[in-house]
Amino acid sequence: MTDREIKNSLRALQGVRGIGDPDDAWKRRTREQLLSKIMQDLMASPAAGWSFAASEWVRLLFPQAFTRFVFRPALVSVGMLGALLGGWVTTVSASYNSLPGDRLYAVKIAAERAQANLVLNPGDRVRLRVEFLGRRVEEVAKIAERQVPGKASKASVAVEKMKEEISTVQEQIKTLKQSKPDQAVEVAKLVDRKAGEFNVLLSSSGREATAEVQSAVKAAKDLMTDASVQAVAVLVENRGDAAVQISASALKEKVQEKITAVAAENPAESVALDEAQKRLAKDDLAGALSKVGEVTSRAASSTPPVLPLVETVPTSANSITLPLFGQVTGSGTSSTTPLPDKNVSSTPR
Amino acid sequence: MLYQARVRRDPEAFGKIYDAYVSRIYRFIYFKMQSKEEAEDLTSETFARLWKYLQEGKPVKHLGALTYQIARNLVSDHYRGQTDRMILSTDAIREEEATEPNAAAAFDTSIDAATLERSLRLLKDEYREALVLRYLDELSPKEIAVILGKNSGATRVLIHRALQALRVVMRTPSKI
Repeated sequence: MTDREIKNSLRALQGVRGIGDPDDAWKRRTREQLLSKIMQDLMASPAAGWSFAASEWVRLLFPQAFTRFVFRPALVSVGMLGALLGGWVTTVSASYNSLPGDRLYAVKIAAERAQANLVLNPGDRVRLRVEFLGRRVEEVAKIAERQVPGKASKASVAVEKMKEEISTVQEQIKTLKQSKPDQAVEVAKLVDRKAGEFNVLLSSSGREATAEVQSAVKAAKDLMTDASVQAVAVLVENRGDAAVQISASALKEKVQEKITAVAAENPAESVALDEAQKRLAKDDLAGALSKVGEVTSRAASSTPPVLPLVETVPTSANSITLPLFGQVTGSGTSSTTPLPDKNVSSTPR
Repeated sequence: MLYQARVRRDPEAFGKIYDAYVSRIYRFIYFKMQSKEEAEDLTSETFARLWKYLQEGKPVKHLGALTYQIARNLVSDHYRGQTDRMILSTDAIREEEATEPNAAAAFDTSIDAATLERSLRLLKDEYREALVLRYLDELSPKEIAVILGKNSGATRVLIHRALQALRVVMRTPSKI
């Protein structure tokens, strides 16, 4: 038996009904069932958009390698140049008032990110981030006030963006504390001051809105309160530092303000806040803030889940994996880190 | 056809894709399964999944490779769910079908179709897969390499070894 004979025999199996060749009736039947199922699916779902068709044409007209290594990079470069030289200022200006869910919102975020990356001084960079945080708060307030479609989901996305911004600010303050403690104190003061302003703005928003929007605004306020408590914790931690420039009594008063404000918003947390009050009475500012921080962290972490802006499309065919062609993966969202449980000064933020 | 099926969502275009690949995919699955019915079910499911994949808008580099890949994953899923798999099946019904007069006429070489099928089933999955893709489906080593996730050189070696293994099995009637 030669190789040739075996190969010929294998090829001949192609035509053997039931082995190499499926039954014609079955093929026809399956085809009909498949197409009928597809027709049903098509009736139930809308057609693909023009952008998909355009990208498909590019894919068909140009070889994959050309698209990947020449066309796409060239397109990106030209696009970037065009955006930078021609329409950058216009686009960014136009995007300035955009809100989550708007087409230009991504431009606004990208411009902010680029702006932050251009700032070399870490202290200035955090200040800039605080400014951006202000924008996020304004976005929540605007959405709560305006009559926009998908208001609840947009509000929850805006709160999530705000949460990310707070998280970034806190992370950067943490880094700043290691390298430039005096600047960290300055930024903490700024955050505390701004948090007060932001909370006022949020309190005046969404009073007439639906329960979902009000819940998003409440979540935003909780996040801001938590951020301000953590900012004061930085001041308390560095109270010996000349940059703090706040007397012990003023600092104590500030902590007292926090306890009072948090107690007003969280009446169910009286036990923890009483304990904070007792610690404050003993001049244990860090301990008192730690208890307050527990309460605000709890409130902030109970932020309602983000509602999707658009309907999500399933990304994979159930359990099948297609390593040759890649898979779409999702990415998580960042969240604020809760305050340390025990002592603010032992684990500084 | 691919453009029509993906972008225009044209069922008829997908029907043509089905016509072009159904026999090959069936064959590919058939040699991995214990029965004709299982092969038919998984073939049908392969095309349902292919349509779904095309509608997700993900890039398709090679439609044939994608279809085989889906079929391959479905077979893996199928066996993952089975605990009592029979390794070597000599299904009497299948033997009858393979040797019916019509089939015998088409099979004009000196080696019996049923014997060859049984011999193929005695090979390890990788070898059987390579031989089916190369000689029954008449794909090039390059195309097979894409499906199996190997390079062309390794695929050529695999086909060669598979052929040698088949020859050894066929020379040992007691095994068949």
